[in-house]
Amino acid sequence: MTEAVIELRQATKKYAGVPAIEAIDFALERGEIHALVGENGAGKSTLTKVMAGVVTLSSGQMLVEGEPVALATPLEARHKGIAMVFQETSLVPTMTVAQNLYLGQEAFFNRLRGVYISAQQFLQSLNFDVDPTATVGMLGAAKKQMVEIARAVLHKARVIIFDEPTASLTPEEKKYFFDLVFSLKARGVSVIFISHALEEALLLADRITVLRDGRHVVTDLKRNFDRARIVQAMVGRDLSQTLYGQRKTQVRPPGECLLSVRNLRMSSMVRNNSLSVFAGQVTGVFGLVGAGRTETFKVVAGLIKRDFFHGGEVLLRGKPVRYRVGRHAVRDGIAYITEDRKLEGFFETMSIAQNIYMGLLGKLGGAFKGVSKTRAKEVGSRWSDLLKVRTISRDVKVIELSGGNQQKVVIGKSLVQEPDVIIFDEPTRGVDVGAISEIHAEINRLADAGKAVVVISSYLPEVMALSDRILVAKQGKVVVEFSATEATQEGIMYAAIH
Amino acid sequence: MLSTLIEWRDQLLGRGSAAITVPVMDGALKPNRALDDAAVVAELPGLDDLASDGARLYASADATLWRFDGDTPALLRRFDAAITALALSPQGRIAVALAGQRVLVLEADGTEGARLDTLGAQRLHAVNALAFADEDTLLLSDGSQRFAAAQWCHDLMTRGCSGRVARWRLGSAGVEVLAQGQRHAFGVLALGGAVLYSESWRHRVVRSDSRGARPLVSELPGYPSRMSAAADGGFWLTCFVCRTQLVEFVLREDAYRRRMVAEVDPRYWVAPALSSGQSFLEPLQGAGVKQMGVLKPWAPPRSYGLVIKVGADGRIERSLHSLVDGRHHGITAVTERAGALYAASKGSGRLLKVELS
Repeated sequence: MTEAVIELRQATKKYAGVPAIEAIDFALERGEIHALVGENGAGKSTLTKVMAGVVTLSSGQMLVEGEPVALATPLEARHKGIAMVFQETSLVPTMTVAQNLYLGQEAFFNRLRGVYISAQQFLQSLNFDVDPTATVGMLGAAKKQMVEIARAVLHKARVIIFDEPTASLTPEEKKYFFDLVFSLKARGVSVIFISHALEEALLLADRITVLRDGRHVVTDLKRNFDRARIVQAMVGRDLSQTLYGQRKTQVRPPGECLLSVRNLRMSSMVRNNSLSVFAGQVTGVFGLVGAGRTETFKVVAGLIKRDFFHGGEVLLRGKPVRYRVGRHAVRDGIAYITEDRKLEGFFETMSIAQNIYMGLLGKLGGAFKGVSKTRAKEVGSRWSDLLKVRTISRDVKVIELSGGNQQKVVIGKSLVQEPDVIIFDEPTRGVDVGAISEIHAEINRLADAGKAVVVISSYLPEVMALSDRILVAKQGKVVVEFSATEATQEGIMYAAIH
Repeated sequence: MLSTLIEWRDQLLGRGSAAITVPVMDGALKPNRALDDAAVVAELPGLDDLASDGARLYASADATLWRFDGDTPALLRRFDAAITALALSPQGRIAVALAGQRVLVLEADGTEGARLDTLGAQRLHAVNALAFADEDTLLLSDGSQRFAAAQWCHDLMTRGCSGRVARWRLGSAGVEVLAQGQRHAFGVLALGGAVLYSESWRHRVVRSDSRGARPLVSELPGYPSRMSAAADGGFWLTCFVCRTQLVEFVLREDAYRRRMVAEVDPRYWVAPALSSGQSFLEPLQGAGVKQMGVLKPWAPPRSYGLVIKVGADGRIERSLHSLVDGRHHGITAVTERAGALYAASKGSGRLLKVELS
C-alpha cells in the first residue's frame, strides 16, 4: 500500500453543535490526485480547511506523514508542506508575479532584478508560461492560479489543495490547469481538488471521495466510478429519512406568467439565463455553487445590475423592467428574501417590530409622511403572530433571537410589503427544525394565495418537497425544468453537474 | 426626436427593441419529445396541410390531395399546381389554394364549385391557410404580396409586411379584408364568433371580432402558423419554425441581411428552416452545443417541431415538441380526429399521430 501523506481518523468538526463533517476517515496518498465531490453543504470545504489549518477539528485525529498533528493556523500547515489554493486567490494584485512569489521571504538587501531572475528560473523549472515582471492584477484567472501554485511549490508544499479550481477558467485555461496538475503529480506532489464538474474528477483524479451531509460515503479508484455511480453516491439519501419525507404528488396549476427573464447576462456569473415564474406556484431553483441562481434573482430585484451592454431583459407582467435600486422592485411587488440574513436581512440592534416596519417603509418610499411607533408596534405584532415568531418580549433585539426566528423576521419584513413575486434565497439555511416546517408552511400558503413564489435552495430534498416545478441551473443558466411529480434526486443532480 | 434618441440608445446598449432576446420555453412550453415519440401514420413528401371535421381526415402534399380511411392514405386528386392550403367544411366541401394564387372549392360530390383569384383589386399571391367559418364562409390568409407561399423565408428576411386576412362569402365576388399590412399572415381559424389569425413575424395570434382586433397570444417563442379548433375548447397552434437569438440578431442587422439575401444561396442563410442537418454547410448547427458528445436539447435550433395548445382565454396550456436533435420538425398543420392529434411535419414529410388521452 502507498504511504499516506495526510490521514484523517474519525474527523469531526462542529459549528455551534451542528456537525459540518462527522466521523470522516480520509487518506491522501503520496503523489496522487484525489477528487472530493459532493453536493453543496456536503462538507468538502470543511474537510479541506481542516487539512489546511484554517479550522481545527472538534474531535478525531489528523496525521501528516504518520505523525499526529493539530494544525491551528494555515502557517503551521504550510510548514508541514500543505498549501491550499482558494477560489479567490490570495495574491497581491498590484505587485508583480515575482514579488508575490517571494512575498515574506525577501532578503534584507532585496534586489528586484535578482528576484525576477530567480522567479524566472523557478517558473521555467515548473514549465509555467508566466512573465515574472507582469503585474498580477493584469493576469487572467488561470495564470493567477499558476502563480498561486508556483508559490505553493516554492514553499515546498507536498500537498496542494484546490477549492473549485476551474470554476472561473475558460476552456483553454482549464487545459493549462489540467497540465499543471499532472506536472505537479509528476514532481511527487499530492493534489486534492474539490470540483462540481464530474467530468473533471473523472478525467484528472486517481481516486475519488464522495461526501454527503458531512459524512464519508465512498472512496474508490477512478476506474471503478462512472457518472451514474458518483451521482447516486452524492444524492443517495432516503427521502423518507429526512425532514422532507412528504413527496409532492400534486402540482398547483400555473397562473399568469408574472416574471420572465430573457437572456440575462451578468458578468461571468449569469450567462444568457432565461426562465419564467408563474402565479400560484412554487418555482424551485436548484443548482450548485456558481450556478448563478442568486445573482439572477438579485438582478430581478434590482440589488445588482446586469451587464450594461446586451444584458438581456426582465419582464414583469409582460413589461420590461430595469431597476436601478431595490426599492423600485419592492414598489412593483417583488420581494427578495436574502440568503445572508445577518449581513443583508435585518438591523440587528432594532426590535422585531421596528425591523418589520422598516420593510413597510421601504415599500412606501417617499409616500410615507412620518414614522409612527404605534403603527410599527401594531404591524410588528401582527406579523410576529402570523409567522409565529417566538420571543420573550416583542422589544427584544433581533440579534438575540434564534436563527429560525431571525429568518421569520426577515420574511415578515418582506411580506409586509404585500409582494406578488416572492423570492426566497436559501430560506431555511441555519434554521432550526421546528422553524423549517413553519417557514415551509408559509411558503405553501403564499403559493396557495396566488403569489408567485421562487425558492432558491441548495438542498435537494427541500426543493423537491416545496416546488411545483424545479428549474436546475448550471454555470449561469437554467438548463432543465422538471415537474415536481417527475423529478428525481438523481435526475436533478445529473442535470446540475453534467 | 426623443424616440429617435431612445432608439439610438437601445441600439447602442442592446436594450428595448434591440435587446435581441427570445421568450423562454418553460412552464407549459417545457420541451418534451411528444412529437418525436409520435406514431408515424404516413410518409408523404411535400406534406403541408391537414383538414378534418373530426371524422374524415384530408392531407395535402405538393399537388396531391389525400384522404385517410382510418390511418391509410388514399390519393383523392392531383392538381396542376401545388396545394398551399386546405380546408374542410362541416358538410364536406373541400377548399384548396393552388400555388397560393387561386382558391378552389370542391363540392362534397367532387365537382368544382366557387373560385377566387383576387382580393379586392389585387390578385391573390401566397394563400397559405384556409378555414371555414361556416358552410358558406371561408377565411383565408395571404402571407405576402411579394413572395410565394414557399418563399416564406424570403419574406422573413426582407421583413415583409404585406400579409392579408380575408373573409369570402362563397359564390359571391365580395371579399372582406379583415386585416392587411400583416407581417406574414399564416393561419386562420373561426372560434367562438371571432376570427383568429397568426401574424408570424410578430410572433402573435390576433383575435378579431366586432370589438376590433387585439392580440390573443403574443411573445411566442416561435413563428406561429396554422391553427385548428380543439375538442375541449381553445385551439391548437403550430409554430412552423422557432426563434433564436442569432436570427433575431440578423433580422436587426439590415446591411448584413440584405447582402446575405442578395449573395448567398437561400439554403445557407442564417435563417430558420423546416428541417436541418442535411448539409455540413448549414449555419446554426447543433454541434456547437455538444458537450461530452451529447447534443444539448437547448442548442439553438435551425429547425424545430412545436405545437401549442392554447385555451380560449389565450393562455398556453400545453405543448408538444420535436427537439433540436429530433426528427419531426417544421410542423405546419394540426387537426384533431377521434381523440388523437394529427400533425403534419413538413420538415420530415411525415404525418404524425399523438393520442390525446
